Amino acid sequence: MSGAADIAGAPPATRPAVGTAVAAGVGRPAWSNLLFVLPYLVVLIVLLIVPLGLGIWLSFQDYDMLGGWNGSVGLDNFRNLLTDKIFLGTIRNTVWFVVMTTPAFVVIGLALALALNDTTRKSAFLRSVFFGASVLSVTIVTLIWRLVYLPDRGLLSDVFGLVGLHPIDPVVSTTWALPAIALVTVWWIIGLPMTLFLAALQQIPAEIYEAAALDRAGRWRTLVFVTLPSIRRTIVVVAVLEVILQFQLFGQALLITGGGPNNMSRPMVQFIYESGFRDLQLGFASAASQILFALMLLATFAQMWVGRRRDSA
Amino acid sequence: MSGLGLKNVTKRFGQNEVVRDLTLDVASGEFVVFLGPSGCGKSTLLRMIAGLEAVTTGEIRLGPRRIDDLAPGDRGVAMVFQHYALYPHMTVRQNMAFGLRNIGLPRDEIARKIASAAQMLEIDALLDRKPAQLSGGQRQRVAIGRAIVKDPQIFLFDEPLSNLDAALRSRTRIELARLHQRMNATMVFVTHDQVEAMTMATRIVVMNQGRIEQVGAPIDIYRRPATRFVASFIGTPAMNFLAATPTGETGGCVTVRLPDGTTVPTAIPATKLPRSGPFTLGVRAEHIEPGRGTPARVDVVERLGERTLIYALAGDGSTIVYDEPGEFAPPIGERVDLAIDPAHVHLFDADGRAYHAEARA
Amino acid sequence: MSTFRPGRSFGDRAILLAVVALAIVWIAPIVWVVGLSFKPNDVLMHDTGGIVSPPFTLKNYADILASSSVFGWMFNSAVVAVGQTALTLILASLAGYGFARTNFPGRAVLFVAVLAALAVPEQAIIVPLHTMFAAVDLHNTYLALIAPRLAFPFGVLLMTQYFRAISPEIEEAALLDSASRLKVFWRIVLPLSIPAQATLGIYTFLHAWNDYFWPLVSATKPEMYTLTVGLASMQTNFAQTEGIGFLMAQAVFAGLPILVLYLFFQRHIVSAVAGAPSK
Repeated sequence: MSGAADIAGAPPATRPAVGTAVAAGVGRPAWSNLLFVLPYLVVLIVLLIVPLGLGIWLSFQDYDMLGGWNGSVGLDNFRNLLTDKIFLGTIRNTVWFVVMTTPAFVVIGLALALALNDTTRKSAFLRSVFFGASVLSVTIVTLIWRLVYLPDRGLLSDVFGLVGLHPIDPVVSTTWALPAIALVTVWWIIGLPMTLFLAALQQIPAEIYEAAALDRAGRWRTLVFVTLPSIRRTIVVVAVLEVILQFQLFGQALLITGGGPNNMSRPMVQFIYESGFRDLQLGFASAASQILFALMLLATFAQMWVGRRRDSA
Repeated sequence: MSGLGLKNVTKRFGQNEVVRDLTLDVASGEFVVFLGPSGCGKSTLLRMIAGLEAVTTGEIRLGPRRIDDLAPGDRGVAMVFQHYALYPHMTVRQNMAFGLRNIGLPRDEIARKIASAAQMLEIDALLDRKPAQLSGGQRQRVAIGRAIVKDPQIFLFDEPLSNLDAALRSRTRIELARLHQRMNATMVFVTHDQVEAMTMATRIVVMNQGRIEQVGAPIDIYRRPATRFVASFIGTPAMNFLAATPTGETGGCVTVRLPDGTTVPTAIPATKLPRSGPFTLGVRAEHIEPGRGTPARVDVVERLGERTLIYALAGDGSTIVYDEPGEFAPPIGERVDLAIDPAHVHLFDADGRAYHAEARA
Repeated sequence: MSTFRPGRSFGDRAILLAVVALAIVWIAPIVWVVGLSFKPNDVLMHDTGGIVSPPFTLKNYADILASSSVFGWMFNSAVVAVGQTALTLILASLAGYGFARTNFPGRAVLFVAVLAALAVPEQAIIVPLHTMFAAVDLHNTYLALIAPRLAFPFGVLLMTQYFRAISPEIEEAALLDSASRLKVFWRIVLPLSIPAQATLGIYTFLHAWNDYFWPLVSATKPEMYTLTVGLASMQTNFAQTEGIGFLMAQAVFAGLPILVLYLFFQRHIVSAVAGAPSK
């Protein structure tokens, strides 16, 4: 992002701080300047803020596409949700899924970044292999993996057969359904954490490694005491990002296992989808959405708080 | 060309008053330099004249017109920025034409103006290049060219020489002076470098903390600084300041005593001086020489070629600098007595106001 | 870039070997699917083992080409992706410039509001959004498919950050050159922001092309299906299906456009997709 600024020559002009969180603009204030942000603001209000408010309102209503609007029901929707076995199951599934995938993303992503952090053609090729899957859409990925998971004829059962083990069909297994989806997800999006870690690793100045070598630090000690501390912030960022993303698990579950067997792999978003768009219970679905939103915010803040505590430690 | 009038101009950023109640008149055709340290408000003042900052209170006039409520492009003002601010994606020609096209001048007139400015600045060969392909000095000339073609009432320069290396700086100083003579233009130049100010200005406006300390021709400011700040800011090496106590008068002029007991006569009429101190004596290096006077010990010697600066420690530990022509320098540690020329002694009172020797008839 | 290596050692080679092995595992599903897409369906009914041995066939692909709906889906996806990208670039650039470089009453407050909107996930508003569009009978239109994602603040924040980094002196010079605010934006600042536009454009295009949830609930008529929805709709009755080869060919076919783009623009895509969230 420095091309234009380089040629212009200057760092942004130093001017006395205006005292707001946002840096001062150029030129005098004018109402006409509002026109620049107005188009986007209109879109933001109509397509994000209004639905947000509407969703919150809906979650307190008994609103059914079939039965119509039957007035406010206060916290009934929430109460029903929190006693609904299936919904509680989806919360458990989603949280369990996040717990399964986030460490995998961080560890594997970091390992790949560490291993492929150089300028050789080999590494460039390998990086593009790992990243390539993430440009595919969820439906293509699920199609591929449904074929892989086909009982008797899929790649997985072929491989199991080769090794001499009895093949399992994860799609109909209550224990393996969710992990199977986790595997697909990690396969799909490992490119993102890998690239984020690569960027962070490249920010570490070479001199630190040279100093470590002069201090006769071996590979492992360098990793633990030099590299990892330098990218601690990025680790937190990646973890937070993955938590946010994986809480939104939907397509893979819907298309590979359908949420089964026995609701053991149904995530929260699928529940919202089904109650909102299949059962057409809008109030109920909105309440579920709010709970998902709240859980995500909670998880994000908790992580950031933990990350910050470690930073100052 | 028009004259510039600033009347009670004040600029506040939040609680911070950056320019305080400033009044100044610049005559048409003058080359005025706003000189001062960082943060004194000179750049802010320039930007207010240009219209890039709003005036909090006060008026700015260009000729008969009041301009402080006009848009930057409508003021008849052209500015050369510190980092040139050329449009990177346009050629030199397009850079120079941009402003003229925006006000709707016909094509042939634009071409004519560009050609004449390019010739004056010797950049005709560069017209079809982009800024990235030019050297620093060339970019600066393009920036000046962009200002010239607009035929402005006044030129503003925001520290344009600070980006250049020393050799280029002195060459450009001369070119700017020549430009000023050729175009007979009103120019306002902002810098923190007093050498630039002294060599280029018809008048210098010395600023400090948002206020004008002194306005005057370079040599007047040099010889008769109005305040201690101006005295310390102008001149290389900086003026010597010594604590001084008046001890009576000789021939109507004050005599002062230095901390180590030496008395120094001055040419300042006793009646002019306020009653109470404390006072500071100021005298420049070129007005001190070895002779009867303050005892000191040579500490550091700087040889500049055509003269030598000698820093000596006085009895009370303060440093006095004086100069000798040529390469003569006393050995370090040697004791030397320093005579101060009374005719060039200044006195500064507790508020920093200066009192000078009266001119002899 | 820090590439300090303490010399090639056994550790280095072992790591490389492990990574290569992992890469083989990673690419295996794709290779397997591509390979089997060239085998006739009836063979695959019994045995999926022989990728490299004959018989081979192009019939699966011929069948796809014959079934015209795939092209219709791709067309819809293209319209949505291009439309969303173009509109996002316009809206985000305008708003980004407004926030970064101009002064107007309420600027700071509005900017904080946009920042806060970043925290809202798609799923929190999808139900009411759907209700709103249903109320004005706008489902199954391109407008409905393109519009909602335009509100996501990410583009505005990216452009704001980029515009802030451009030296203000250039814009001041343009103002002194009698350029109106709009002209400064259009002729000076916008041309200088091409790298950011490319990043945002690629990012938006990719997400628009791959979007699933919203098109699933909004484009319910088959002629409006996007590629993602259409592909999912064909996968009914997977266990009993006879056309495994056909399904595999579908997957390859659907993935081809984006993989081709990836091959050509890999560097840009990687920096767009990965550089974006970190900001």
